[in-house]
Amino acid sequence: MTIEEIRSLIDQIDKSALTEFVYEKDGEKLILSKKQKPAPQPVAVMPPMGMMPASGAFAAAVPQNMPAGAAAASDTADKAAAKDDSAVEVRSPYVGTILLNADDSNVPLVNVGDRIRKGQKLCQIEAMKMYNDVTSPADGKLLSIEVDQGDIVECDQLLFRIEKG
Amino acid sequence: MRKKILIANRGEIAVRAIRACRELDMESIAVYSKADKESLHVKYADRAVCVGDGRAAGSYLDIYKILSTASLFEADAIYPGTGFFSENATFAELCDRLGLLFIGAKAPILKKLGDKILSKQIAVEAGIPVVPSTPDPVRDAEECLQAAKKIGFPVVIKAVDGGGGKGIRIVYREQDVRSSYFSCEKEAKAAFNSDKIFVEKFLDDARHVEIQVLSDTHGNVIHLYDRDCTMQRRNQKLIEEAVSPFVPDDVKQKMYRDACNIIEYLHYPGAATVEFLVDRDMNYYFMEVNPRVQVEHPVTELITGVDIVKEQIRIAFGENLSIKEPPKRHGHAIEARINAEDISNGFMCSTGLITKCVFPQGSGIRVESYIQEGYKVTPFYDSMLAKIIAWADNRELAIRRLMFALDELDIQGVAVNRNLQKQLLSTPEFANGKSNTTFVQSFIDRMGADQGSDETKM
Repeated sequence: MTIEEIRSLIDQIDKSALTEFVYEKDGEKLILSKKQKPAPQPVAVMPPMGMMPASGAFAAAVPQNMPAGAAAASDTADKAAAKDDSAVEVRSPYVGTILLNADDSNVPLVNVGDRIRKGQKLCQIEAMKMYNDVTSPADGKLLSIEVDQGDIVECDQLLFRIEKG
Repeated sequence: MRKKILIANRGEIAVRAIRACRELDMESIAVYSKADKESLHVKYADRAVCVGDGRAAGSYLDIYKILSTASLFEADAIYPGTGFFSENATFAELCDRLGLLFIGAKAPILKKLGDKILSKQIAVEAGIPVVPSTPDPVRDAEECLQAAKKIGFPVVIKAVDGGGGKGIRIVYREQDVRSSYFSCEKEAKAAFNSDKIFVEKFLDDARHVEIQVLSDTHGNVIHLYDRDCTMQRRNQKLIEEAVSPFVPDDVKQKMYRDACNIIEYLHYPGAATVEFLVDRDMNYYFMEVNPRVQVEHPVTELITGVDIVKEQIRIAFGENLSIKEPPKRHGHAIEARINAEDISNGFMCSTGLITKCVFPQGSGIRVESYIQEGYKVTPFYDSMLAKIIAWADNRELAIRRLMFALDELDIQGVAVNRNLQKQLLSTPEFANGKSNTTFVQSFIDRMGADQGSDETKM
């Protein structure tokens, strides 16, 4: 079975009501199980300060020199690679630290299962004391959150999966 | 703790820097674009971080992403390589302010050297002969024409902030000045965001000879002899060798002295190349100082045994040069750049999936590359895929070795310039030094456009 075939299977099963799928042929066995990731509990998760640059120089040096590339939230839409018409992947447009919670709170911006509107803020990525919003490229339902609070992500890393519609 | 070096570049120079880091027992952090996922620099680095999409502006040239990566992964220093940020004063300054060591020149020196008029003034102050030119930028096409007439044709119309073969036009006739001025201005605006243009005498029968210099923060300045890069097309070097076989030794000694003088005058610790043009009467003229590693640095390394990239890193960390005077040189080295370009189609950049990639081997052969089977050549970057370098006791054998090496080279999937390189190496002009900087283009014109390009089928 090719990766493409497996991918399309996953997409099909995602959309179906099935929770488990087993496929076996010629010694190949594939088990797909759909366990909904529980919504993150609103426990106290502090952003790991050690990962953030502490020096005041960052804040001082950066904004005046590079305003352009910084707050381009609309980038997100271009970066989202749709595998098919209904599932959308949201990938990171930045290198930085993931902040899943709303400003200064322990409340996640979004939870798995939430209805999402196009342009809605999904998370922030912090780098060098600059907070860049990642927004949804489509209306739909949040299928998964692929990163944790405080994770360091790189560009093109998968952050969210959204079922369009 | 092991020092961490972020390598803010791609291609063969990024791989080269990773190897230097290994030998210095430092950790390498590579950055890469989505288009470069299969590049060897991603595979060989201790850590590789994706910084954006294929366009250089969205990845390798995105200051914010590069500096974010450096700070998040706690790099001690940034190695800029060639191109990209290597001569970018803003970037160097930001590194400074963020407490990151920029392995290159400080911003004020980069600003001076990046300005072609200012750098010539510095050369004059340091007592080095320069090519006649306008002392200031010309204001418009009319002034450009007057200046060209005063200097005498042929002339070069050049962007003050230009480089890498962009924003530069050679003009032989009065009636071509206007159009060249405007296209030059347009190109300079697009590439360097500057429209300052000046006019310089064009030496139409000249060799390109450059001096490699190393200097440290303790006042030591040495030269590592010279390189001849006369085989070039449209200001893009194709074949480089160390040392120049055709400039007499007494002239070279003066060039070495002048090159060291200007670096001393600049107070720049690091690796630098001082470029000169040498005319048929063996008069030499200062062109520019490149305060960075050059693509063609391996030929110098092979004849001197000095690792220029390691020296750059050591110098940046405040260490002494590992040698206090020029080492004895040994043998002759020649480099051929292998570019993904379709010669038969007007040197169009050739793109596609590399389906086979076998590099030459054997005594005296060095290969610098970043591609492997499965790498996809895209139009986003420079077309250079590899550098094939041959070393031998004498020049004649070095040429033959390089020819055999080019025969062994087997790259499938994109068109490369191997045949053209072999043809150039076989010309009597290359063998006996009767070439000049316009030779390659006139050779191509002579050959007709339908030769020289191939996948490297044997």
